[in-house]
Formats: sequence, C-alpha cells, structure tokens
Amino acid sequence: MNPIVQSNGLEKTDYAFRMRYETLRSLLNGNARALQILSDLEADLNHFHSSDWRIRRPVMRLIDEALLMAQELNLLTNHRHHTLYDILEQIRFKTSAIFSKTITQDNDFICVQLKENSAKQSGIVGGKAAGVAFLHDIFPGSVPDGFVLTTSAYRLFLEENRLHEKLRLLLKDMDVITDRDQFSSKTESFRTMISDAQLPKKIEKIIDDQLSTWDVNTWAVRSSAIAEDGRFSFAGQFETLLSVPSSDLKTAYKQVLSSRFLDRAVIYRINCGLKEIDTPMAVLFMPMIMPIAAGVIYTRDPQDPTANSMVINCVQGMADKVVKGTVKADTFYLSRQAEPDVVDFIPAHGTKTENHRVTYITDKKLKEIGGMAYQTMQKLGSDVDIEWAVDENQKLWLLQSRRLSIADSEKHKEIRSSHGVPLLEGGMTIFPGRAEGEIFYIDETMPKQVPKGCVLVVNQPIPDLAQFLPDISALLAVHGSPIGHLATLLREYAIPSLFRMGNMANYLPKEKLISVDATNRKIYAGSRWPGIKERVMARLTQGIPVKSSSPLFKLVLSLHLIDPFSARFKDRYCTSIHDVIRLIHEMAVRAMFHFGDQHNRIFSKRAKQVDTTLPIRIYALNLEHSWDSSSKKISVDKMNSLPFTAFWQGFSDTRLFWPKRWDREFSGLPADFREAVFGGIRGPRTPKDANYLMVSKEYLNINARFAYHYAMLDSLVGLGDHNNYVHFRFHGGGSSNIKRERRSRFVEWVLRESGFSVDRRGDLIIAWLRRYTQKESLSALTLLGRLMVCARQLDTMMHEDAFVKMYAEKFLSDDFSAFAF
Amino acid sequence: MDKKLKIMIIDDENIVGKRLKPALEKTGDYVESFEDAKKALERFNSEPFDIVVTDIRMDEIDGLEVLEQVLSKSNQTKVIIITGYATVEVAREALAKGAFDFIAKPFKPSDLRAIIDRAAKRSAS
Amino acid sequence: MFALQKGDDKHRPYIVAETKIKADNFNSKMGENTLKSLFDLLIPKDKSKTSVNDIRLEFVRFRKLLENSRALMSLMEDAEEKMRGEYIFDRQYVLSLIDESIEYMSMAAFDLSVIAQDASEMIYGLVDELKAFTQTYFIERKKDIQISSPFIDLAKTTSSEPEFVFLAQVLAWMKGPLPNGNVSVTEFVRQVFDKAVPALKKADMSNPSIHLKKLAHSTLNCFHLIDMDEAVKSKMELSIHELKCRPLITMLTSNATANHSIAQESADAKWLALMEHDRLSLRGIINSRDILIEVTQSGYMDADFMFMFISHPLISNTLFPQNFKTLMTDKAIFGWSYHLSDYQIEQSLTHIGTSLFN
Repeated sequence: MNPIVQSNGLEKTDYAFRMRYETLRSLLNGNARALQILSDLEADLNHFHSSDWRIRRPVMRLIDEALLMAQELNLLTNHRHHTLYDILEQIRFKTSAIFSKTITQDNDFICVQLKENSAKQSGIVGGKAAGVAFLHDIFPGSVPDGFVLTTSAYRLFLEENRLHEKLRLLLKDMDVITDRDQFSSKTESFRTMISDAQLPKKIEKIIDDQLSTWDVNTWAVRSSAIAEDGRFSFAGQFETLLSVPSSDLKTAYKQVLSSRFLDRAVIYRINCGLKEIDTPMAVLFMPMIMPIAAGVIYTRDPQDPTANSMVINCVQGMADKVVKGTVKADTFYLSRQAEPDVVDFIPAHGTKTENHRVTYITDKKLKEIGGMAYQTMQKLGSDVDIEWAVDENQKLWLLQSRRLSIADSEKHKEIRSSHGVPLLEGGMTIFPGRAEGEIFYIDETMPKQVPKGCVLVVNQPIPDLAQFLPDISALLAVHGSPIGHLATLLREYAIPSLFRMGNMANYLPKEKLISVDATNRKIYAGSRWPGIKERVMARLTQGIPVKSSSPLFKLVLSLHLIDPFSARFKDRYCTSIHDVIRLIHEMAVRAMFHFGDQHNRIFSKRAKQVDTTLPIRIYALNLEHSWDSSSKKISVDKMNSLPFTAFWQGFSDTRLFWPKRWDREFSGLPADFREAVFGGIRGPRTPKDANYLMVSKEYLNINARFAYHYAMLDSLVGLGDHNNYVHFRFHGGGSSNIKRERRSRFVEWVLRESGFSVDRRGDLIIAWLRRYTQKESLSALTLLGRLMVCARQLDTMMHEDAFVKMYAEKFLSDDFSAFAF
Repeated sequence: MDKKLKIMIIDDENIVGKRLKPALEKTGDYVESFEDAKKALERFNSEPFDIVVTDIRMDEIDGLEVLEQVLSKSNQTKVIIITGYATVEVAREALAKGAFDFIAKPFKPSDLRAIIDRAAKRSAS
Repeated sequence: MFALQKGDDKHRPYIVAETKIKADNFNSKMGENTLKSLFDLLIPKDKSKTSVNDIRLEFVRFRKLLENSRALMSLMEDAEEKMRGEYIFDRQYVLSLIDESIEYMSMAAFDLSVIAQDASEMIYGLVDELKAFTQTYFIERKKDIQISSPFIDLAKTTSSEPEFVFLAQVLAWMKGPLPNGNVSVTEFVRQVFDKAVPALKKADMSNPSIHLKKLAHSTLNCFHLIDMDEAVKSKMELSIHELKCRPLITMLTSNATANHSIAQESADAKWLALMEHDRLSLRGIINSRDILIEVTQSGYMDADFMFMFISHPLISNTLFPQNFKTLMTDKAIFGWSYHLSDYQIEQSLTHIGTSLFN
C-alpha cells in the first residue's frame, strides 16, 4: 500500500492517523495560500481600488480558502468550531455589499480638458486639477484653460512598462524601513524606473494632439495627485515645472510623475498614512502665464483665524519662490467681505511704519483678487487659499485653489504663562501651542534624520523639511512666510511653530532643553510645564490619526487576535478574515497536540521528547510514521526530517549562548540580580514549559513557548521550488512594550536582510519565505534556529533604539558573542 | 539602434548559456557566455558589456553580487536577472539594487530578447 | 462502492429530494460502504440537517477539487509546451514538475476524501503509488524506465540534451497509459471524478435553512435554485429575468435551434442550481443520467472555466462544446475548458443551454 514507508522499514501508517495528518497538511497549505493572498492584498490595496477585480477576486478567493480551512479545523476538532462558518458567511455578505457599492472606474479618461465636467472629479484628475476645474467653473474667463493626463493615464503608463509589479515588489516594505540610506536608494530606483520608462503610444499621441490644438509655446506642468489638496495638502511635495517648452512636454510629464517618489513625498505620504492607491498621479498642463505680479490669497488669516481678514502675499514676477518659502513676500490684509478693502500692509523689506505701497500691483487688483477669493469661499463653503497671477496686460488669472486647514485656536486661548523670563520673544505664530524638547539646528545641509522630539531651528522653512515633521515637537524659523508650503504642513501636523524669529534664534543654546510657547511667542530655558513632554511624545508616536483608505481593510486584513493565550482568542471574537485564519491555524496545532483534549489521546502516545543537552524541553511527533517505541526519547539524528535537520543545525549551534547554562554556571549569584538579567517585570524565565514540534520528511512545525515568548515556525521543503515555504511568527516577552517592540524590529531587520517578507505589528512578527529552492529554504531554517535562540532574551537588552541596528548587524555577521547575556 | 550589443550571459547551469548564446547571436549581437561568475567578472573588468544576463542563484558568486559588481564598474550596463522557477519574490532585492528587469525560468529566448531590446533602447536614449 | 444506482432517481445523491421522501432513506444507502473513518466526524450525525453552510462548503470544496485537478492538467500542458523546444529549462524545472504533480494530487485526494469519505483510502493509495513510482524511476533512478511514448521518441531523436529526455519520461508518466498496471496522473484524475461527482450531497427541501427557490419556466418543471449571495430570505419563485447568476442566465436565454432529442428528455429532468453572481453549479438528472455543470464567468480569463460531467449512457456527442478537453471513464465522460474569454464562455454556455433547455 505504501511502498516508501515499507521500504524504509518503518511502521505501516495507520489510516486514522494518516487522515489526520492529511487534514492538517491541507489546512496548513490553505494557511500558506491565505497568507499569500493577504499579503498580496495588503500591497494591492495600495494600488487598486476595491472595485478593481484585482481586489475583488482575491478577497472572494480568500473567503473560500478560509471556509475550507474552517472545515478542516472542524475535522480535526470534532466539529467544535462550527460557528466559524457563520462568521465567514457574515464577512462574505459584508464584503459583497462593499463591492456592489463601489463604482467601477472608467478607464477611458486618459485625457480630460479642464472645462469638461469630468475634470471636477478628483478621482480622475487629482485634487489640484479638480480644484482648478472648480475655479474654472466659477470664473471661466479668469482661469487658464488646460488639459489633464488623468490617473488612468498614470495607470496605463505603469502597466505598459510593467512597473506595477516592480513597484509593488519594492514598495512592500517602504513604510517600515528605518534606515534612511536604504530608503533613499529605493526611492531613487523608483524615480529611475519612471524616467527610464517609455511613454505609452496612446499617451504620446494624446500629447501630440493636444499640442496641435493649442497655440501655446510654454507650459506650466503641475502634479495633481488624488489626495493632493484634499484633506492632506501635499503642499509642495510633488513637482511643478514652469515655463516648459512644448517640445519638452513628454519629458516633463515623466519628471512630474517621478516626483511622486521624491523622498520627502514618499515620507509625507507614509506619515499621513496614505496608501499608494490613494495618491495616483494625474498631471495638469496649463499654458504658462508670464506674471508681473503673483502670489497667494488666504480667505482667513492663518496666524489669527479669529480676525475678520483675508491675507494676500505677493511678489513681483513669478510666485514660486513665495510658495517655496524662500523669498519674503509683501503682505496685504483685506477685510473679509464680498467687496473687500485693503486694510493693512506689511512690506517684505523695511518696517511697517514706512507706509508706502508697492508699485507692481494696484489696490484695485488686490480688491479684485479678494472679491474673487471671497466668492470662491462662499461657493465652496470653506476657507480657501488661491494662487493667482497678474499678466503684463493687467489680466488677473487664478491658478489653483485648495481648502485651507486652520487650527482651532480657541483651545489654546487660555494658555498664558505668568512667571519666568523668556530666552527669546517674538516671531509669528504658525501654529499655536506649547512644546518642549532639545534644540536641533539645521543649516546648510539636510541631515538624514533628526532626534525624536527635538525643537527644530532652521533658517528658511523650506518644503524639504516636511520629512522631519513627524519627529519634532516644535519648529522655529529665523525667516519664513506664514503662507509657504511648510506653514501649511505645520498646521496640518499641529506642530507648535514660530516663523520670523529673527537672527537671535541662531543663538539659542545648542542641544539644550527649551520650552516653546508658540501661542504667546515666547521661548524659555529648561522644562517649564509638567506633562507637556509626555503629550508631545504621545503625539509623535501616534502620528496623524489615520483611517485606512479601504473599508475592506477592517473586514479582511486587520488582525485582532494576536495573543493566543488571551481569553479573547475565540471564534466569536473573530472580526476579519485574517482573525479567522489566525485562529484556525493556532487551534489546528493545538488539536494535533490535544491541549486539554481527551479525544485525541492517540497522539500523546506518539509524541516523544527530543533528546538534547540544551536546557529546553521539546516534544516531537512524526506525522508520517511512528518512531521506534522502545524509548521515550528520540535522538535528533533519528528525526528523519529535512527541514528539522536544517533548523536544528542553527538552534543547537555551539556558538550560541543559552541563558540557562549561564544560570547554572553562575548559580551563586543573588536571586535579584539573576532576575534582573533573565526576567523582565514578570520574573525569571525558565524552560519548564514544553515546546512542540511536528515533522515529516519534508515538513516541520514548531510551537515554542519560551515562557513569555511565543514562536511558531511552519515549513515545507521538498524537491522543487514551487511548494517550499517557511513561515515564522514571533511575539511576546516579559519586558516593557517599547523594549519588546525594539526586539521585534531587530527580528524584522534580520529577516528582511535574509530575504524574508515581513509583516510587523507592534511586537508581533509574521515572516515568510515562499517558493525558494530547497537549499535556500533550508539555510533560512538554520538562520531561524539561531535567531530564535538569540532573540528570546534580547528584549531585556533593548535599552535604546540604536541597539536594533547594532544587534542586527552583529547577528548577520555571525557575531553571536553579543548575544551572550 | 542598429548598433551591435555586447551581451554577457552568466549561468552555472550550462544548458542556459548553451541554448541562449546562439539564440541571441541570431540578431547579430555579440554574446559571450560564462558558467563561472568569477571569470565573467574578470572579463567584465577588462572590458564592459552593454547587457549582462545573470542567473540569480549560483554557487560561488550569486547574481546579486554580480549585479552589484557590474553596476559599480559601469552604470551604463543593464543587468537582467534570471530567477528560478516561479520565484518572483527573489527578484525584489535585485530590482531594489538596480537590476533592469528579471525573467523567470523556464523562458523563451524571444522573451529575453524583448527585455534586451527594451534595455538597449534605454541605454541609447 | 461508487456505482450509480441507475433508474432510481430518488437516490441520486445530489439532486433535490422530493419532500415526501425522507432523507434517511438516502443516508442508509450511503452508509453501507462507509468506512469508519475520522471523516465521519465531519458529517453531522443527522445528515438530513443539511444547511446552507453544508451546501456552500461542499460547493467550495468541489471547486477546490476542480482547481487542483485543473492545476494537474495545466502542468501537463505546460510540460508539453516545453517539449516543443522553444523554451530554455533545466533539470530543476522537471523536478519541480514532479513535485508539484504529487502535491496537487495529494490536495485533490484530500478534497475527494472530504466529499466522498469512503473513497479516501483508495485515493491515497493511488497517490502513494504514484509517488513511489517517481521515487523509483525519476529521483533515485533505481530502474530504467521502459515506457514507449511518442514524447520520449521525439526527445531522443530531436535533442541530445538529457533534460529533454527526462522531461519526456515525466510527461509520459503524467499522461499515461503506463505498462504493468502502473497508474498515470491522468488515470488518477479519472478516478477522482468518478468518485467525487456521484457523492455530492443532495439538498433537502424540507430544511428551512435552505432558501430553496423555484424557477418559473414554461417547460422546465422541476428547476430549483439556491442563491448563495442572498443574505436575507426573499421570494420563493423567480423568473429568468430576476436571476443574477450570469452563467445561468446565458444558458437559459439561448434561443438557437435545439438538439431536439435532448431537449425533449430534459423537459422532464430535475435540476438544481447553486448560484453566485459569477459562479454556477448546475446539477441535474436527465433520464437516469447524472449531469453536472460548473462554471465561473467573472470576465477574468485566468479564473474563468467550465466543467461538465455526464454519466453514461452517452447522451450526445455534440453536447460538449468543441473547446472542451474530455476524459472518458467506465462510468462517465467529463471535461474542462479553461482560459476562456468572456465571449467564448457565452458561446459555450449558449451551446449547452440550447441543447438542454430550448
């Protein structure tokens, strides 16, 4: 019946056991497929809308897979988990409802004219272009015509160049990369890929057609991402090219597209929690206006939202320098009404007392700008800022508009400090509030990163600084315009900040702790307000509160059942497919070892203790046949499992340090000291808990419970590449959250460097390697063996962030002495 | 575009080089094939190639190392990675390190040809 | 063990039981040859309590079986394509081919075991045999393989490369037939479907948890529907234009000229359709023959396919559309068609629909 088994001289497999094994195999296969779909979905939800078949189909497939796994679990547990069927059906109905609601995207809009109705749909033309189209509707004569290469054009561009697949592969880890060099080299490869790519013939033709219908020689080419100028402004994060000659339009298109992957744009996107799919890039082409004056109008004063005034910032010539915040602009204040008056003026140079007006723009023009802005605001129902330009014929053009985000200043009103002498006073409030932190200066060169929680002091508030915003507690600028891009971003991030502090800001004590009161424009030495530091840090770790972009996320990808020992690790607490899959897997493994299950006594008889000198107790079960029954222990070399042998080679590596051995050798040490070394808050760790492993010739499953840690390894390594996989899950620990998370980041680092795909949530690591060769899969198992030993106590040592990288590098260079603690 | 390309093939399984070389030579390009990556790199150091096609898995020096060494010598060279059967995930690192594209075994020489043509276009423009 | 009980419609396993017939009759019949296996635990003690969950579970499980067997067929096609000499492949490719074939067979064997628990020992026996064969002849090469096969001849004459000869041998093992009673992969697939289809459970009309609907139709008198996309119970009788299941609509609305003899017979047939928006499982009995049609019509070529199984005696040579690849067994004829464009599916469905219903 089974020649292989018989020819090996081993016991004939009994039928019941065989079926059980096959059921588990099938369940684990399903688990592998399901995890694959989940991880693909996680990436694909960044690229496609939920209406796309590339989302809909895998979700449906995933539900089928989960259903089959549930059936298999029920086979193993005597139908104990039948409620999972109903849970899955509910999820299926809910996801179907989402799919039937989403409207299918029309892929035919490659190019849209601004005056067309569809140009007002930001899903097609991006936020910026939609804003312009809206303006165009209100003031048809005052907004330049133009055309948009839509987000569909962008998708076509990616698809024809096979960039989707490449981007997806590369983007997978972007939001978890902490090494800035690695990050920059990745974003650079995106940009190269885009600028290297060919424009699709269809798009080339459209650009040629457009050029022949427009009597225009120079163009303004602007990015218009989906999320741009919406809830998040992306102010200045993408490229705008001015004065582009017609002949360069195609190159300019690609250049603007590639700006999507500038470091600062990618970081900004990640910080906002936006997914790739939320920001596909449309590009807006408008005839270039050569202005004699240009600027921005705000329908509400960002510095003083309660004042009933509008603000115009303007310069002679082109406005781009104002927007970038590098050149000082003249500031006019207008009354906030349908026919506004100019009520105040602050010149860019000189002081307010020299009450003379500039010559390049008249009050009449300023009032006209104010009137139009007021009208736009009324139509939109919210405050706006509008970029405008006046050409040499004194014609006023509106170039773009967006909603204005202004802080709720009421909250900060009562903050008044009464005592102490400030180090520095003055400047202009960009965003109010109090903060404290150590001073960090940025002058000429842009650093890779800034210390978390610092007060950043800069000369010019340029948009490149946006990348640091999630890490800083406050920002002080010597110069700066309140309506530059960075100011917009600071408001969005709600970071207390002061501009135009003057040169004195350069003399604040370096690396000293200061307290900033941006509301009252005062800087103090030292720590001044209790609780502020904690609040700042809480904000920094939390980031901008994000809702995941896809309603599917909650039903499919989110994982709530993380701790298998928790009381909530039960069928009825499953709310997503991911939960169901996670639960099934855990319960199936438990069923095999029948934790507390009378029904499966047969397996406890088969399990044998692994004979090892390592201070750890492991029980093993051979799924294909029984081992010789004369001994209660099984020696390592009789396991007859390819993946186990590889794993054990790493696990029992003599260069590794086992704390229990150390414990034995230093048994005379005081208990409290030992506890400090071995244990975290929950006391010393002992290997008293049993660990379980299941093997067959090509299969290995390990459930290791090192006291407070939990590690699961599941691997199939056969002849070919196609079915090979190594799955690894790791979490827990007795030390503080932050240390455990650092330890997880160490594990993540090592695994990524070793070719694994990794999903880390807090201190939970899920890593996998699929379809690698036998040799690669086996060496990955050896690595995991070492890693499990090295990482098990590492959390207690993770006192600093920098240790993550240090330990990872040591581990990867086989320097295991560092793990001898 | 009519310029003859210099193409280097590196794969330690001789069947690949043996079959690929004549297939790629058909269009008049110059092809050298190596089973030993070390020798291939020595050759590359003495004289750069336009295109390097390398297997990702080789015993002594793997494809990624070839990629790094080639790009550090000549950033004009386009490196195309041959990955194993259905192992697209492996291609990720190669792409991140600047590989031009990848192709999974088994493949038709004409599939590879298409990638080479695209690569040639890029380096020409 | 798996013989169809000809001429005894009410014991047809997967057809709607008439209300007056107690499901227990059916159960006792099924139970006769059931081995005491752990699989018994899966099926609730009282099988008459077939709920929507069970029907959906079986539907999805059978789909998985189709997927796994289709994967086997695709592997064969892929290998044949590589044999034509245009591809560059290495020994690893051939080893992977063996590995994957065994893996898919194991998975298909498992699916079959869930659907027809009494077939599991037999089918795993086959898997073990097939695995042992590859071990002996391909991996350890203890014996030289003596199969005559056009592939091997071709490989030996056209190429000196050992990879080609190796691939040819493996392909011969897959396609069969093999000498000395050795089982080929194709034979395995035959066995799987001969066992699986007749074992599909029937839906019990008296069970309130199954929202069994009736199709309002002028000629088809016994056509029942289960809408698996339905979250809440709705009306019990549906007309064709109220259906949402694309493939079924296509089949029922075809208006080409019918093959008279079959259509005539079909009028008295009993039908049960399990419907999702783009998936259909249609089960029927026409004059004591079992017929099963499985379709996915989603507009996505890689996922879309059709499968049809008809037990003997052969109804008509022309019922299978031309693009079907069919296998004949002692008991039935069945076949697939996949990698189809939406248009091709429409055409095939129209063809079948016309023959059966018009």
